[in-house]
Amino acid sequence: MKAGYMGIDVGSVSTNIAIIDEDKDVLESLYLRTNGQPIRAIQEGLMRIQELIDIKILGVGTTGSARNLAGVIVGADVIKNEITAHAVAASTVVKGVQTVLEIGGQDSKIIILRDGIVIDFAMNTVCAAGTGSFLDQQASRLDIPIEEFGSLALGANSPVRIAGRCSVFAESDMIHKQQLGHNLEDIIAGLCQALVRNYLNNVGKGKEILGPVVFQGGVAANQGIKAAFEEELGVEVIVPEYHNVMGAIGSAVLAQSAVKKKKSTSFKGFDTSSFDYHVSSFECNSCPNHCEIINIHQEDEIIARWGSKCPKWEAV
Amino acid sequence: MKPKIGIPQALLYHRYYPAWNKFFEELDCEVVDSKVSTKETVDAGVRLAVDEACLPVKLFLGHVQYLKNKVDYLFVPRVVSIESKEYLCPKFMGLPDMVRYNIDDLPTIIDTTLNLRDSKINLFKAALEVGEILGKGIWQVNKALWKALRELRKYRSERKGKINSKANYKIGVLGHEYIIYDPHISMNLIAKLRKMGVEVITAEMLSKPALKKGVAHLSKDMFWTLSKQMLGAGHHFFDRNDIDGIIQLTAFGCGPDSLVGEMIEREAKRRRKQPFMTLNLDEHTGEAGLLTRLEAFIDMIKWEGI
Repeated sequence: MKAGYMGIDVGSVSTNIAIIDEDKDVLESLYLRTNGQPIRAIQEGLMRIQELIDIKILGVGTTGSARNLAGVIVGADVIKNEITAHAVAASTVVKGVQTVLEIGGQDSKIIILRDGIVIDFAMNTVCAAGTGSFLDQQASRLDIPIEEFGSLALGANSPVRIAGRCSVFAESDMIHKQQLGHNLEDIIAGLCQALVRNYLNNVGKGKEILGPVVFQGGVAANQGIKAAFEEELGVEVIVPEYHNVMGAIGSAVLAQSAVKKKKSTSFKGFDTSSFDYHVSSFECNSCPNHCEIINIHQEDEIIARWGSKCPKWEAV
Repeated sequence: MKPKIGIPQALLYHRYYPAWNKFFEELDCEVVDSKVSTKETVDAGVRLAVDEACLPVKLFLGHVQYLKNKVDYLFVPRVVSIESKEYLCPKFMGLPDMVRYNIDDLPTIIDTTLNLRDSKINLFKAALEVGEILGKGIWQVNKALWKALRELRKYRSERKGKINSKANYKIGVLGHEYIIYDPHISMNLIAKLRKMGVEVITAEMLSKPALKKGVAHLSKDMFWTLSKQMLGAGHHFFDRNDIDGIIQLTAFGCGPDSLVGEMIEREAKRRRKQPFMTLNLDEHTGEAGLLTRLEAFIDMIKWEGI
C-alpha cells in the first residue's frame, strides 16, 4: 500500500482532491462539481478517491472558500487560504515561477513571486466577469460543450471586439455581434481577449508580470484564454498538467510540512464519507448584530460552530 | 435633572471622546453614547443617508438615529479645521446639515462651529458657545475645557504606549481612525491581526515629529489634516526596517482617500520594500473575502519559500 498526503480544495464551483507522495509528485487527482453542496461533494470525493487508489493518508490539508467546513469534516492538519495554497502549488510544480495567474469558478487572482517567495497578490473584488461561471454560462447559451469552447477560439481569423468590463454587457455585446452575422469562432476569440484584458486591468493592475508565468485554475483548460494571455503579455504561458487541482496540490504540500512538525495526522479516515453530516443555523438575538450562527453536526453531535462576531458561541 | 447629551460613536468621536465626555460632565450634563456600531446601526445609516455619502457618514447617521429619542441634545459640531492652515474633509463641515436634512424628529442639535485654521483661541470661543446653549457661565466652561484637554493629553499618551514590542511581526495599518478603530466596519481587523500573532501599529501610536517627518518631502503642503496624518504615517512605515508589512484600509466613497490612498500605494510600489495591501470596505463587504486576504497577507510575510 502506498502512502501520501491529501489536499482538498472546496471552491464555489468545483471540489478538488489531490494525493501526492513524499517527493510531491501527484499520485491521483479528482475534480468534482460542488453543485452548492460542499459536504456531499467532500464525502463523494473521499469515496471516489478510496475506489481509485489504495493509500495510507499521512496528512491532509484543506483550502478554498469552504476550507473550514472541509477541515472539520476530514480532520485537517492544516487549513489554509487559497492564495497561499495556489502559490505553494505553482512553485512546487514549476521551479522559479515568478507570476501565477489563477482563474477559478468565481474568483480570479494573481500572485507575484520572486526567488520563491510571494511578494504581492491580488484577488478580484467586486466583479466576477471572466471567471469560470461566466464562461460556463456562455458555453451553454451557445450550446457548445465547455471543453471545446476554448479550442474554437483558436480557429478565429479576425476576433471581434467585445466589452469585457462587465459580464452582463459582454453577453449583450456577444449577442449583438452574433446578430450582425459574425462567425462563432471570431466571437469566442473576441470574448477570450476581452476577459484577459479585464483580468489584467482589474486583478493584475500595476503588477509586474515576469516569466515564467503559470496559468492555473479551471479556466486554464481554455486554450483561447491561454492564447490571449500569451498575445497580451508577450511571454510563454505555462499551463501545468494538473492545472485544475492546483489548490488541492498546494494544500497537500502544506499538509506534508505541517505533519512534519506535528509528527502525526489528525485525519479522521475515509470512514468520514459514511457519517451523516448536516448543518443547522440560527440567528443569535443577544445583540443588534443578529449574527447567523452555523452548527456543523456529525450524526447528532455538534463538531464545529462559526458565524459569530463575539466569543459567545465559540465553545462547542 | 441633568440634561442628556447624545454623542454619536462615529467619525471624530474616536479621536476626541475622552475630552468630549469630560467637558459635558463638567458642565453638569449626562453623556449618552450610542454604543459600538452594529449591523443595525449600519443598516439604519444606509437607509437614511444619500447614496453618495461615504460609509463613515452613513454610519454616523445610524448612530444619530439610535440616539435621537434618548437625549435632550445631540452633539454634532461643525468641525472645519483642527490645525493651523489646514482643513478637515468637507463632509465634517456639512455634518450637522446632513443630519438635519436626512433625519426627522431630532432633539436640539449643538452644531457649534469649530475652526482653528487661523487661531487656536477659537477653541475657547466654541466652548463658550456650547456653554451658552446649556446656560453655563464662562468660569465653569473654562474649567471644563481645561479638564477636557488634560483628559485628551492623557488619552493620547496612553495610546502611544500601546505597542507590544515582543511580537515577531509588526504591521503598519493605515486608514482613518474612525474606520480602523470601529470594530464593526473594520470587521475587527486589529483584533484579527493580533490573534494571528502580529503586532499592529497605527498612526495614532506615532509621535507628532515622526508624522511630520513623513510628510517633509512633499512638494506642496497637504491641507487635509487627517490625510496628512495618514501620509505621514505611511512614509514613516516605509522608512522603518522593523515594519514587516503595511495594510491600508479605505472606505468606499471617501474622497480624500481616493487621492491620498493612491499616493501611498504608488510610493509603496516604487520602494518595493515591504508587502503592501489595500482593502476597500463598504457596507456590502463580506467578511470571508477580507479574511482570505488577511490570511494570505500574513502568510506572505511569514513564508520563506518551500
